[in-house]
Amino acid sequence: MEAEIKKICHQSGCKILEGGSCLESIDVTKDECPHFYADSQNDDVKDENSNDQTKQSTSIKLFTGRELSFNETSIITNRYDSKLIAIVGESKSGKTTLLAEYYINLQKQPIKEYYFAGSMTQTGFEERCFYATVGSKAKKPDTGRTQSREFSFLHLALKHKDELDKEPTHFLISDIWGERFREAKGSTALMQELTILKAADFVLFIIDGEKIATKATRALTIEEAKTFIQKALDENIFDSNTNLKVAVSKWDFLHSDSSFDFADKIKRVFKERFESRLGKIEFTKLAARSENASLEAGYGLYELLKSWKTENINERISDTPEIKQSSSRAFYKYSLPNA
Amino acid sequence: MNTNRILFAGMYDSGKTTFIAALWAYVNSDKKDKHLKLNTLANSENEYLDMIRAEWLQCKKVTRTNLNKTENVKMNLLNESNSENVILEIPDISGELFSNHFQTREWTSEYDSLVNQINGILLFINPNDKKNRTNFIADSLEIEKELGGTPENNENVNFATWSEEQTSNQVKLVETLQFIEARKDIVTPIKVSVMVSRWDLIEEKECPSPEKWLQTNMPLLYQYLKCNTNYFKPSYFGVSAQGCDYDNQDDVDKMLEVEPFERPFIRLENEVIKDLTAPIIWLTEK
Repeated sequence: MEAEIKKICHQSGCKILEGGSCLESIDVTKDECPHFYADSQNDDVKDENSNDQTKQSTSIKLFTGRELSFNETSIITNRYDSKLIAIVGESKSGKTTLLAEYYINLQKQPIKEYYFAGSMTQTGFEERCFYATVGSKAKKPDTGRTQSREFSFLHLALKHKDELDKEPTHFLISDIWGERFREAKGSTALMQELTILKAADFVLFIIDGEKIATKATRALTIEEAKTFIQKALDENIFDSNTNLKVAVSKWDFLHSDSSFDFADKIKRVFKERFESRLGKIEFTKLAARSENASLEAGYGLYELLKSWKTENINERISDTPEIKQSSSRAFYKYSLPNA
Repeated sequence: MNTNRILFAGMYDSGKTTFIAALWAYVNSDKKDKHLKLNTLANSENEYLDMIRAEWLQCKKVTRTNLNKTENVKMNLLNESNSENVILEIPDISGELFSNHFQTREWTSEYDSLVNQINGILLFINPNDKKNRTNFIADSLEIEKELGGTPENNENVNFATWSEEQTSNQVKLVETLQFIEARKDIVTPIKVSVMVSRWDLIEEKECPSPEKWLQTNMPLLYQYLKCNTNYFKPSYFGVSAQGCDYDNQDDVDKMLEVEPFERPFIRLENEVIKDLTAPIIWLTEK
């Protein structure tokens, strides 16, 4: 008798098996949901006749390759020290494109001295990179919109070329629907749902450079960015442990624009207002894909990666005595009461 | 007696079966000073091996009859240097299976057992396969720009839908190795002979070393291998199991005039050798 494989949802909070609807509104009957699958711990999958001695081929489940939910990141954090990076920014600001471009660059060559050492989420990367490939039939590189309302994470392991015999650095980089951030800046309840940001080793706050380049939306875009950070600080989502990097994306739109002073309008203003309440605040310009001939594609990506790779998290945490860690292992670090 | 189970991994049409056919012909041949030679045909099912060898000897493209079936190949050989009996167990697996693993994210318990028993991996790559790496639009646009073309936008584009089939071979091969690493208890690194097949076509043109070829043409896989020497110990070989392109009748006619064991060759870092067993010997050395 053929065993009926009963699938379960591995995403926390999803009520699909309790007669509710899928958390992400996915039709699970079409095998489209990355979280809805059988696993070896699911006792219900065992065939009632499994005691018979007939040698039958059974399937061994392999890792899904898709993006990981916060709970699923334990498959990495239980094994390795990891760095959790939360990318924050409104829809279409370039969060997913940044992720995709790191993986695209590694498919062509190392990112300067950083070598690809593996990824448990290659399928997740492949999907996100698809509209940048000739196979998608797109005429210019694009990125599909992230639909997930929950934080999901992509995994990337990298090694320095001179340290190939050492353990790689494991990055877990978030990807989430930008609308969550737009909503959270105006709602205490929604902001407090973003507790994962408290666990992040690095928070990258992306401001859409294309919107800054348009004079009609420039002031609004900058004000909204300030509002988000202010709200996150006032709701204790950001605090003196937060290592924040403010990035203006799509810098190719601003590269030749003399009417915008990055040092004055972004660096000075954000520093004056927020520096004293944060662990660290830094600034950068990014152009993951450049349409400006005078600015190379991938501008700023290497420097950003290098800062994540080289900064020692433990040193940073030891500077803030109010955080007591029982272990340096990421498993403990990422265990959140409300995650 | 040493039993060595070797996994021949690689995508469809990467040269796995042709190599097995050439290897069977080679160990059976009368060539002097072979490192590995046939020990005995006793207690072995050699029908499949003889069938693919027959095609190879006639310079015909070696084909698998059943893409879904794994042919269990066993060779009982003798290592001439130490007179040790070497049993090679080489399941001839269709390249489709490796793509299926990537797509379905599962494999059978039989395959899982095999993975847990292997001593080494021969990882085959067809250098002419256009799917070895992904074509990115940005790179095409660069070329187009140099030719004076004007970039178009994405309005009115009928986008294709993503599926696992669109994934490049280098990503799938990295995943194959990651699956093995995830399922196998690796105490000492597994040796991986990276076999860039159809090397005669590369040797004619540019002649980099096989390692350099991989670094240039499949950089993601190369980086992965460089970074994971605690799990996988790679060595790089260019292999021409056929000796020439069978679509070129003049080359085939020339090839039919030489001893079959003289046809194939292996490109090492700095030299070309006629010993087809070199990648196997390296894998089985302690």
